[in-house]
Amino acid sequence: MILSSVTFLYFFLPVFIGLYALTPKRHRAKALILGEAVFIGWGALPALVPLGISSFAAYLLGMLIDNRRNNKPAARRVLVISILLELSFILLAVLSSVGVIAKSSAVARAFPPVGVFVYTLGAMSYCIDIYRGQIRCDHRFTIVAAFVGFFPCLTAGPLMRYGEVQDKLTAPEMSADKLSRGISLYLKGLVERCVLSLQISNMWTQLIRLDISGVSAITAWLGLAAAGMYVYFEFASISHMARGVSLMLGIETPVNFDHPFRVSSVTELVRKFNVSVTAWFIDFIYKPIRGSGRGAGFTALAAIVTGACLSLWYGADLSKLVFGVYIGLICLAELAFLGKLQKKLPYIASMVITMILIHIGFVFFIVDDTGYAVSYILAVFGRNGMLVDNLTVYFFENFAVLMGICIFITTGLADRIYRRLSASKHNFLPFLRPVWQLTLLVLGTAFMSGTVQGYLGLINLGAAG
Amino acid sequence: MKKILDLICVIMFFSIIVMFAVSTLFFQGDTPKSAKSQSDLEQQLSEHFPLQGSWQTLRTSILLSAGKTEIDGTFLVNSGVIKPSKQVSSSASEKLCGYINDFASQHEGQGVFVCIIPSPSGIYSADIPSVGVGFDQRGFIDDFYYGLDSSVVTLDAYSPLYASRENYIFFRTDESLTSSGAFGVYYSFIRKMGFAPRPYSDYDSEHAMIGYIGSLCTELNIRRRITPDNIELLTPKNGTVVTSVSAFDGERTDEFRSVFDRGALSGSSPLDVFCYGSRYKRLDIKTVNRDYPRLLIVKTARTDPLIPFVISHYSRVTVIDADAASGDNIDDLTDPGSFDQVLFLLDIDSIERLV
Repeated sequence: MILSSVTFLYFFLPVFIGLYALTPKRHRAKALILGEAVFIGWGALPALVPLGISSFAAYLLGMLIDNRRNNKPAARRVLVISILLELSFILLAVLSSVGVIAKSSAVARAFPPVGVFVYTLGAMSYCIDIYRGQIRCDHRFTIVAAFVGFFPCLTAGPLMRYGEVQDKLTAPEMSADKLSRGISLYLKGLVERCVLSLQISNMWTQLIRLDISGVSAITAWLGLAAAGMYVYFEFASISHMARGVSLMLGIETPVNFDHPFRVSSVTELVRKFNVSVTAWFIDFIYKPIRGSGRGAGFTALAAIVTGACLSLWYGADLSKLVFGVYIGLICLAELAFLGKLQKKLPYIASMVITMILIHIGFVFFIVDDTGYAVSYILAVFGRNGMLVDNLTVYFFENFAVLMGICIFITTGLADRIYRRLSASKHNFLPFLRPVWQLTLLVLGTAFMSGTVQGYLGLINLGAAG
Repeated sequence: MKKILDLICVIMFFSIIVMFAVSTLFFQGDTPKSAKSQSDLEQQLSEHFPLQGSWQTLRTSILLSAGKTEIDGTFLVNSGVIKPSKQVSSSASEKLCGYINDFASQHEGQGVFVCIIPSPSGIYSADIPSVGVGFDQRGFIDDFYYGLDSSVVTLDAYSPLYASRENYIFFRTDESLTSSGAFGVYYSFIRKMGFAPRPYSDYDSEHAMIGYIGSLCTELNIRRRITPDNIELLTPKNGTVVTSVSAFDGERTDEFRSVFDRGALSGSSPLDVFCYGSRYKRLDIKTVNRDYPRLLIVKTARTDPLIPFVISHYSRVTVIDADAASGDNIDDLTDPGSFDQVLFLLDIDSIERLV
């Protein structure tokens, strides 16, 4: 099921929230399991099998690891089994998405694009955290299963860590305040997804349908800006919707998009973009490889491997791998020398440089064809020998307002104005909240109804399409 | 106060979504039936969602206000809208070519003619931004004609339409030919069918409907930045040549006196005024012309405005609608051997659908 669909908003959400509210607090984890079963099973019932196995394996192996906490080698062996199991699920999902496993087969139906890439990481982090002694295992299967398959986050995160949400899952507390804030957040994400992301992606898809050798430099720059906005809103919208639904269920999740486009370095941007997912990879891949006091070589290796793994999480193809390595190399350069240079520059200049660097990378992130991505970047730097063309005017005419709105949001100007108004003596914003929510609901519905909503266009693209 | 506002928000939100959900399930005519799959069910729910037209109007209005000149792949051009045609697949093209060649070889004594009518996006490709230009229709039509046997006579509609592109040859809000556009095509090709064309001065122009908004604009609820169309009928000054029209819909036959269905002008498909649109599988048109040849036309709905001009050269014309009769063979509906000429009159967008 898709968070930004008529089915989810108008049918699943009211029914589920109603049932959930009527369920006594201590049994709400069971209601969450029911929710995740419908959410995942809606698309394909076989998808419930790996989710069930993953949840049960995390529960069982977590207990075994905890029982061997004084015997590290034995605990490590169990942990390896847990990691291999989850990785095998990811591998099967990737093979299904790239078409190696026939899409009509039972295996491919059991590993749809939505869910696998999230719940496997959740299950792994649960076992690893137990192994590291950061948490104790939970003997209540329902809590572990509710954590692993927490459905609002199954599309593309945020990735939760068990230690952070254990208490909230045990007895989730619903309140009018949380519901109201959750509704606002969900509707914000819905509008970002249905209005901004889909419209801006339209600009990008129109552009890449053309022969790139006939595109002028300014048009290519406009396309680059559209690509960046597309990537941002595609993930930020899902994250906002997920956090909104979680909040409605009484479970508060931390901010996952902390204005990643208002930064002065790529390293900072990576940390602020899909925060929880990046944190997961830094915690479980970057830090173990880098170790402590291992030297610059290991730091470099860790940055590149983390970048590569992180990008492959978003989708298994060569182009995304190139993106990951590119980002890893820039982060390294910033660590070694670029960071010092950036600090000497005015903030705006560093921000512009960062945006250019990351947007060039986004071309690799979005397109599947690495060769095309290179041609596109060359067009950006004027290889086609044209500064403007007819399309430049067309794109300005058609997308200037939309781009303006996107820039207003992504650079944090909208939030800054909101905060200033909230801090003023005569704060009237709370009174506007019902009107604001109604406006977002109407807007979201207008752009959602009558259109077929796909899964995320960018994540695990092969199957998601 | 904050609690009250929160409660207002929550109650308002859930009341609205529950109201719409209940309305979708129980108050939108026929309730969603049992679906075969999850996607079926989602489709049904989406189709039954209330106020579809209003949501679409709102969406279109917002996009137009934001300066967009392209809505869902349809471009606003010259006070009208143009939807770029999709590339016709080579398999569809080859299949249709093969069918016509087989038909021609089976009916060797008859003249078999083919006319592919381009779409507005083919004629006005220069006016559409390059992101919306579909494919080279002239090239496609030439290739298609090249694949036909020499016994099949090809009729060029592209050149006369392109030459008249400054005139009102296509509806601005629809994809069909206007009467003027159809006359231009008729005037150009009828010589190749062995007749001298009747001049434009032989016809009276009748503005049958003013302010027509075509299907392209209706689908997207575009009302701003377009000029509505006029449906013009060109009728012979000396009176109609048609004596009777028998229309067969697969079950029953209706009798009419004209090829123009004026009743359609007040209905939901005003363009059905030309030869009853695709409501009937077969029309048998008899004319006052005695001992004139007989013509069989296999056509699609967008080419309807051409037929009133063509019939004046024949004693009997049978028209088979390729869309309405998609499940039938030509032989099931008429005897092709009883005609002197056969004309396949197809619009370019229908090729993919027909085969």
